[in-house]
Amino acid sequence: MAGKDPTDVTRRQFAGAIAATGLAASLAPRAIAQAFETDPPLAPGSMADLAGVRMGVETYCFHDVPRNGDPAIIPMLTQYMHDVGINECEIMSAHIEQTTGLGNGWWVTARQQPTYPQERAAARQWRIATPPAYYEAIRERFRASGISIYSYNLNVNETFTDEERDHAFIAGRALGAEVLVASCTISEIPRSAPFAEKHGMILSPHNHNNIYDPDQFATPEGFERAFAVSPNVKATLDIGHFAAGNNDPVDFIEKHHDRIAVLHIRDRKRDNGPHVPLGQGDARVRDVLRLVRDGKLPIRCYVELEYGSLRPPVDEVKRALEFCKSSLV
Amino acid sequence: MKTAKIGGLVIGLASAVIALGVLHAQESLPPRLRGPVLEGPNIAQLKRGQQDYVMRNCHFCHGPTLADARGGGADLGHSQLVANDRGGDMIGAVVRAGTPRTQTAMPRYPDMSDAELSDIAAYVHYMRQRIHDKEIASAALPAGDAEAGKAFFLAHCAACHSGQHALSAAIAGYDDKALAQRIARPAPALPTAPADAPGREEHLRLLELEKPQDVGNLVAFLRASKGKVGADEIRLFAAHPPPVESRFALQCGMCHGKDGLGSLRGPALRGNPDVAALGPEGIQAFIAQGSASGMPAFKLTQRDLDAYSAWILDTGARR
Repeated sequence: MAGKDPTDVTRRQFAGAIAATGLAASLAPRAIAQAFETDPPLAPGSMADLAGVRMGVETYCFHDVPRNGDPAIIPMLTQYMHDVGINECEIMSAHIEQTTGLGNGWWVTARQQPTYPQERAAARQWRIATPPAYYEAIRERFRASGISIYSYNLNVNETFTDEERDHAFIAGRALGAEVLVASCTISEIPRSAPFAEKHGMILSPHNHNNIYDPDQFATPEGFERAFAVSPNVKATLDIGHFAAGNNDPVDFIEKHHDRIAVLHIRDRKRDNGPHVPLGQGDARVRDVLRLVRDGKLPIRCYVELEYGSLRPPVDEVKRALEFCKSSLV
Repeated sequence: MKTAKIGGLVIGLASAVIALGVLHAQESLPPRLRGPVLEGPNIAQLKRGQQDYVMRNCHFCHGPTLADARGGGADLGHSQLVANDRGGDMIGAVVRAGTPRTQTAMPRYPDMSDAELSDIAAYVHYMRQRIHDKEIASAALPAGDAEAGKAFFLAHCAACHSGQHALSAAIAGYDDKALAQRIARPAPALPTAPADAPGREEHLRLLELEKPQDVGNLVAFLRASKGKVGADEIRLFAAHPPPVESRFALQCGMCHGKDGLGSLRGPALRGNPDVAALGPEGIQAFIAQGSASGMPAFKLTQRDLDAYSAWILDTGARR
C-alpha cells in the first residue's frame, strides 16, 4: 500500500503539524501556493491506457459541473476529460437528462417530498418522449472531442415503468454505451435484465455499502444473486464502497472477473469509514489495479471520487490518475 | 539579547506566514461552496466550521448552505436531531457513528476531534438559524392559536419573560407584524449581537426551533394575555415535562420513527423482540454506548433513559 501523500492533510492537521515541528517558515508558503494553484493539464489521452489497463472517469467526479439540462455541462465535461488525459468515460444521467434529481425516484427518502409525484411524472414523460437523436447528438459531441462513452449511469428502480426501462437502454445505446450502470436494488435486476438482453447491452449494478439491507448491493452474495438472473448482468464494482462494507475487492475480482464490466476506483476506510484519496483507505487500490494489469482483464477502471477537498475536482481526478499511473507503470 | 530578538522576529514572521496561509486557505473555498457572508461574534469559529464542513464532505449530501441538501442527505435545516443539539453533542453522536443502515450509508468519522466537531456544529447551527429566519420573515403571518402559543411560551419563554421581565409593556407598542418580527429577531438584531448580549444564545436556539406557525401562535397568545402567565402555571408546567412520546420523537425519531416503529434510517424499537430481550438495563446501556451497527452513543439523563426504556418495552412505568 502507498504511503499517505503528505500534501493531503486538512487545514487543522496541517496547522497542528507545523506548529509542533517548528517548520512554519518553510512549509507555510507551500500551503499558500496549494490554495491558489491548480495542477497543469495532462496531454490528451495520456492517462487512457496505463500498462494495458483501460482507465477512464465517472463524470460524477466533476462536482462543479451543473446538472439537469444545463447547456454548459457537455463542453465542461469534454474539457475536463481532455485536461485529465482521459478519452473514455461513464456518464451519469444527471449530466444528460433534462429532469430534476428528485424526478428519478431513486432516493427513497426523497419520495416523501411534496413535489415528488409531479417531478417523477415529468421525468418519466421526458424519458419516454425524448428521441434517440437527442442522445446521439451528445455522443457526437463527445466523439468530436475524441472521447467515447462506454457506460451510461442511470439508476433504474421500482418506480420505473417497463416503457421507461426500455427507453433507458435506448438512451444508452444512442449514447454509444455498451453498459447501463445502475445503483439499484437486487430486486430490480429481474425487471431490467430483459431490456438489457433486448438491446444487447450489459446491465451493471453498482454497489454501495449498506450491508444491513439484503436488497442492497453491498456484498459478494448480492452480486452473485444478480449474476444468476442473466448473462447480460455484470458488476460495476465500486471498490471503495466494497471495502467500506468490510469486503475484499481483490478476492471478489479474482473470483468474478468475467462478470465485472467496470471498476469504480475509489478509496474508503473499512467499517463504513470515510472517503479518502486513493491509497489512503482499505480498498487495496494498487493491488486491484495490478491484478487487472497482470491478468490482462478487460475491465474498465474508472476513477470516481467523493472526498472533501478545497481543490477543483479536475485536480483531484488528475491526482487520482497519477496515483494509478504510479501503481501500474 | 540580540539572539532573543532575532528569535522573536523569526517566530513572529513564522506566525504571520501561518496566519496568512490559514487565511488564504479559508478564502480559497471555491465560490460554489461559500454560501452567504458569515458574520457574528464567533466569526473565526464559523469560518473554521465552514471549511471543515467541506473538508469532511458534509456539503456533498447536506448542501453547502444546508438549504440545498440533495438526494438522500438529511435536511439539517429542519432536522429535529439538530434542533436538540448543544455544541455538537447530538450531531457528533451521529457523525462519529455514521448511518450505515441508510440507502447509501453515511460514512462514520470516528476520528473527528471535539474541537472540529464543535466548529462544524457552530456552522450548522448558524446556517440553520439563517434558514429559519428567512422562512419566518418571508411567510405571511399565519392565524394563531392562543392555546398553542401559550404552550410554546411556557416551554421556551416563560423562564425569562415573566415577573420583572414580563413582556406586557413591550407588546403594546407593536402591531402583529412588527411583533412577529420582534419574536423572531429580538433586539439587538440577531445573529450579529455581541456574544454577551442577554439571551442571545437562547434566542438563536429558539430561532432554530421556530416555524412560522409557532410565531403566529405566540402573537395570538401575547395579544390575548399581554404576555402574562401566572407563577402557578409556570411551576405546574415545569413539574410536568413533555410526555415521553414527544421527547422520544425529538431525540430518536429521526432514525427510529416518531412512534418508535422504525424508519428508513433505523429499526423499530417498540414491538421488536430483539430489543425487548435486552431488558431495561440493556436498552439503557445500548443508548449510552451505541453500537458498531450505527447506533450513536447518546448522553441522556437518567430520567430520559428510564422513560425511554419503559416506553419502548411498554411496561407502563414512568412516563
